[in-house]
Amino acid sequence: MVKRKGLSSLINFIGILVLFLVMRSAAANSVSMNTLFIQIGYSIIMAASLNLACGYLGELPLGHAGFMSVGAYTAAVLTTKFLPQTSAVYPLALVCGGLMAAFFAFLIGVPALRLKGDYLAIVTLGFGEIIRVLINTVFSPLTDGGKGLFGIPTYATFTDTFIVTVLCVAALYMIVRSRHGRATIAIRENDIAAESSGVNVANYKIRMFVISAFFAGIAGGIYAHQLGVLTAAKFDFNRSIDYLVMVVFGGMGSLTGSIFAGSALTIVQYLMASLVEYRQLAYALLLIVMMIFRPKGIFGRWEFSLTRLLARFIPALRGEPKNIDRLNAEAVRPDIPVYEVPADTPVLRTSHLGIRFGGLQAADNVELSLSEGEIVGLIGPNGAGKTTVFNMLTGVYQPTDGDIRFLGRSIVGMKPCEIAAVGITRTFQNIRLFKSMTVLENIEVAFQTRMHDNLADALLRTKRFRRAERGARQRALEILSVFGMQDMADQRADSLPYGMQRRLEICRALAAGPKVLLLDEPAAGMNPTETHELMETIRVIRDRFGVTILLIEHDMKLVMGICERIYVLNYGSVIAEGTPDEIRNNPEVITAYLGKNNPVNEGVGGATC
Amino acid sequence: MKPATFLITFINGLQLGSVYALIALGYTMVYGIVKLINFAHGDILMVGSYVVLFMLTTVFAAQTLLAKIIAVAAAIIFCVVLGIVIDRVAYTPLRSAPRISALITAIGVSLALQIIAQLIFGSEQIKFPAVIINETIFKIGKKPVKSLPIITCIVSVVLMLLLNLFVNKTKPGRAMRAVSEDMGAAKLMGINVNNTISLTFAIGCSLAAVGSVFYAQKVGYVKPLMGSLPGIKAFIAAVFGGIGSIPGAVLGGFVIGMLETFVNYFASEYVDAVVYGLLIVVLLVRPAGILGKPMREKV
Amino acid sequence: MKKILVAALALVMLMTACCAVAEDTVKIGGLSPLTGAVAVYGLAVQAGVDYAVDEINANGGVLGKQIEFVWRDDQGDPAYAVSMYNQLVGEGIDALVGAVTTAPTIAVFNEAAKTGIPAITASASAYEVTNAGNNVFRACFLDPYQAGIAAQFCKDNLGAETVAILYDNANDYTLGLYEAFTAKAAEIGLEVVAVEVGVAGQADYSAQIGKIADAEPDVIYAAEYAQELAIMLPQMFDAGLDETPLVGPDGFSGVDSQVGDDVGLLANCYYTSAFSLNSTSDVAKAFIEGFTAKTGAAPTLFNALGYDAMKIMAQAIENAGSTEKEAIVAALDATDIEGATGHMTFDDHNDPIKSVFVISFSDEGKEQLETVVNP
Repeated sequence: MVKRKGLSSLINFIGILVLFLVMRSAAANSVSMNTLFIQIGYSIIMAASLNLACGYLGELPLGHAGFMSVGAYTAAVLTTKFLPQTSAVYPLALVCGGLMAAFFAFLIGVPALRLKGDYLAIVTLGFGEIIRVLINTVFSPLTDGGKGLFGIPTYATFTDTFIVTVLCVAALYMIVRSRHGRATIAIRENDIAAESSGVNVANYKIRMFVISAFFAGIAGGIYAHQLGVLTAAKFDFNRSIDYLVMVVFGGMGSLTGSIFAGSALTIVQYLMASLVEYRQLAYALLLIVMMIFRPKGIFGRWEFSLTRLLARFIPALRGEPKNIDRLNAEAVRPDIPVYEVPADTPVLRTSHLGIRFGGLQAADNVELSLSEGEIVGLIGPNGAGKTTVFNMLTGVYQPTDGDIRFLGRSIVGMKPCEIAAVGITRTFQNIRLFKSMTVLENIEVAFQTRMHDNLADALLRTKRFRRAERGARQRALEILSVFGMQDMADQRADSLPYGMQRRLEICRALAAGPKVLLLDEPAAGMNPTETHELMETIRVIRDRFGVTILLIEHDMKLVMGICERIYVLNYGSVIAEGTPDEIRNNPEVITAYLGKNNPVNEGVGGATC
Repeated sequence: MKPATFLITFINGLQLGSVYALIALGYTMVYGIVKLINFAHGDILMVGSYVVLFMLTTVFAAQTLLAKIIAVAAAIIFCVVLGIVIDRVAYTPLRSAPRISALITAIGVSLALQIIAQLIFGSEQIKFPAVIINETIFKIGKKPVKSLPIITCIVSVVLMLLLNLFVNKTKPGRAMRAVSEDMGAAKLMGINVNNTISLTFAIGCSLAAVGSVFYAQKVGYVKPLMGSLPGIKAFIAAVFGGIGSIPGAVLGGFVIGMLETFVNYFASEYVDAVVYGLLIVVLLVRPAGILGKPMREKV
Repeated sequence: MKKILVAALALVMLMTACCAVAEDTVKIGGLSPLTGAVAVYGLAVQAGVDYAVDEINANGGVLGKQIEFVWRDDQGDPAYAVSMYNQLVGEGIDALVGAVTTAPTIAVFNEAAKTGIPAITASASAYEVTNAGNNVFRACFLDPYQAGIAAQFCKDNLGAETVAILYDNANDYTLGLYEAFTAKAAEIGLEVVAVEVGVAGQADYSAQIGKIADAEPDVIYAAEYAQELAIMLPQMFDAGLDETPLVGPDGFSGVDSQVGDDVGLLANCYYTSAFSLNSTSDVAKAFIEGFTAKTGAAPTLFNALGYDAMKIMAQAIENAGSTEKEAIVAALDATDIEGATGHMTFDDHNDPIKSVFVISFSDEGKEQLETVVNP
């Protein structure tokens, strides 16, 4: 059991080898099979790579065939016109094709990925159309334009296609199962929470988009060198849709699904060849019926594991993957930053802070100051601008006036992920968890800025990667155990009860190693017992993690019970500041909560809703 | 460019633009209300023109005025029913599913419509009978100015104004706006959401049916794949103008139609690159489209 | 275990045996786009080939055996075409007739060249098609050839000094025609005053046509297919080009059935073709008569090319005296046949040498023979 990881790799290697030998013997005896297998190979790469952008990143690219065409033409122009006529250059051509596709993806992605959802879809659709026009016009001296590029050497064989396909899928798998993959999925689940947990959303979107295009480019290279002829017209919108169908059919977020659908749909097309008229109708109806009855696709987000399958029959293979004792060996934990608080400087201080949305002054001249280790409350009636202040502090909104200084340094203009890295994290009023991820993964996402293994480590599964992953898991479990949640580590975040979800959000915010923790209505929706527990927890957090806490809350019992100081906000301005007792008796605060002519002076506590 | 050619090109651009605008309205309304890019919408256009063709060649012996009116009415009714059926059968079950699943379904529906048309009518293009009067009004030099483009523009603009009135001034129109703003809240307010969505599909499809007559007569022929290109162009027009916005779809339709026509004159080999390039630039500068409202996610 | 092995072995032997027995037909594979955007041409070629097969089988087949013809749909897609070709090879075909459009044909011929299987395309007209090997042939003439003759016709017969060209830059066929026409025009002193691109599938070519009208050419050369031409013709009339002669390639074939009653549109149309309904040869007459009787419609160029491709292949198999690949290829090289599209022999590049018909339309919209250009 000790060497379980190594054993699993061995099993997978043997599995792939067996598959290779079986397929090769089939391919050797039949040209038909040979061709079909090559087509399946590049279809799988196309589907799996599109899945990265679509299933994992959660975008909807409609121009994947455009990247395929860039890769196909780049590789084919190289082997046909520039490189020596020997199949030894084929791998080089494939990689160049992939790189060129990646380059185009970068060009289109940098501006386009700022857009959300369907708009990105339209831009990629437009790109796919434009690239065809360019191939036929501007690039025609190289591509031979509309006549088509002929005489491409047909280097693609079953063996090399198989190897390339395995490598591509494995690479995608390695990326997806790493902190980079977790960050990507977190973006899909909730981009605002991901950004606030330290994930550089813009950067990751581009990165994944470019990687996705890179593999599409490689698939294009195989396509070109199988057929020996290229015409731009074949890389149209319909081809992009074909691959999108494979992704959705197999399951968005399941590489197993992409492999299955890439193979199955290619084979179905092949087998249905004799049913000329009704083939496409059957295909169309299949799509509709499939989506109605199983919109998640065949596999959903499930992944096949050969080891797991064998373990059903061979008990010796059953291991305990998350065994902490074993994990204790060789682990590098995520950094816990050390903050130097200069003497006489507040940890966090705002001056003249204000923001204006069009004609609405949502916050005006807000002056807050938090000292090391304080628990401070921010209260005010609904719509007073409390969450707006949080949004400015965390970079979600950019203030239009004033300054925010963290440990004496201005943080205005920083992106939320940079602010999280600097040392301010938050929770959200309406819970924003990465719902389909496990509890553990939710926390691991927040280590983003505290880990040092890079994409290459993830791809090659280096020692550094494995140590960092173990360390992350250990630290995540530790944080969970502070909240008594270690037993829930492997549950899906959205399966937790409400109170636990709120706690998990706090855990996640703490995982990033902040100096200042912003809690937005942590007790909302909790019953009195839970609220009472929460008060204890907040104190424990402050003491154990050495954080300074600013919290928004409507529950006055909680606010008055744990806050050392309180700011009261109304109509975007601070109307009072002081200890709980001072606030309770401040006439202006009472007016703000109860209205001007209310004679009853019960204290604010009575006015909570 | 000679002045006469300019004028004729301008009129042709207007004509193409108004057809795009009619189709774009369907896209924009459906998108506004169910957030679905209804890829089958372009094919509704195709179905509409085949219905007119069928009525005028198979059902009626003579193409009298009455026959033409009945044919167009039949096309509208057929498309409306088809649109509602498609929504109820293929899209309603997916209302709460991921949006991309509904998108794939729409693609499936689009394919199915094309193939069914091909099975019934064959894949070759068929000559479309003249439905709308297309006489020469006057001539500039040797170039005739014909009535079809003028009628197309007038009818389109009138329909768009009516639609705008309907959406803004009537009770069902208000329900549509409410559902597009917040489906859950609309349901709580007692609006029958499913009926409202059906109404949206019905309006979109009837406009597409009207558009189909103009489009098919402009081209002169119908074929099973005829809907996909104007479908995509109209969709771009809707996005360009600001998806969900009725004036936006009209503006987008006219801009795209005009742009396409004039780029065809000056640099025909780059026409698609220019149209899509402009779209990308517009989206990057104004992500919500020219007349669309930017949406801010509440944090 | 042993039993199963023996049984399996027996089964395999039985299958081989029954396949060996079934060798009493000559099996020929056909590849054609039967669905998709170019299905119109695929179906036309298929009809021509099928007619030829019926005719040959009715007359006793080849080598004393019946021809068994197997069709596969390539959808006009090269990747798909290669798959389907391999399926056909798997079924043990002796020869291939196909594909129809250029890119799929090139992809398939690249594969066919590897095994040396005799292959002929009815209609793929780009020069590169027969580059793949010495076993691949075609029945149609080349794009440059007919475009050159069209340019000559514009100058000599129509007396034109200036020409405007309309073509589709995304289509290998029209692009090839455009390039060859431009080259020939420069050679013979025909001035090109406008070049416009009309990508297939557009609804409106009136802007490009308007620009051509502004250039006031003596004649227009439209490298287009009949479907696009039918859409363009009324738009040309609306642009005031109703009296300017319009010359085109064999893609125009079938335009008369497209325009229907509006025969006036065809008054100034001419096109170059390998086939004419007014052909005087006996083979062509018999084909036109027989095909019309069988299908109820007069044959088009693509029907005729399909017919000829099949006839060439059948004759080569007969002359080879066996279904040996090399023997058939040698016989194909020596082809000398009178087909529906005229007399044909093959040059060193396996392209046919044959006559070009220039076709115009009568006042009733019927095709008529304008002139014949012999090689």
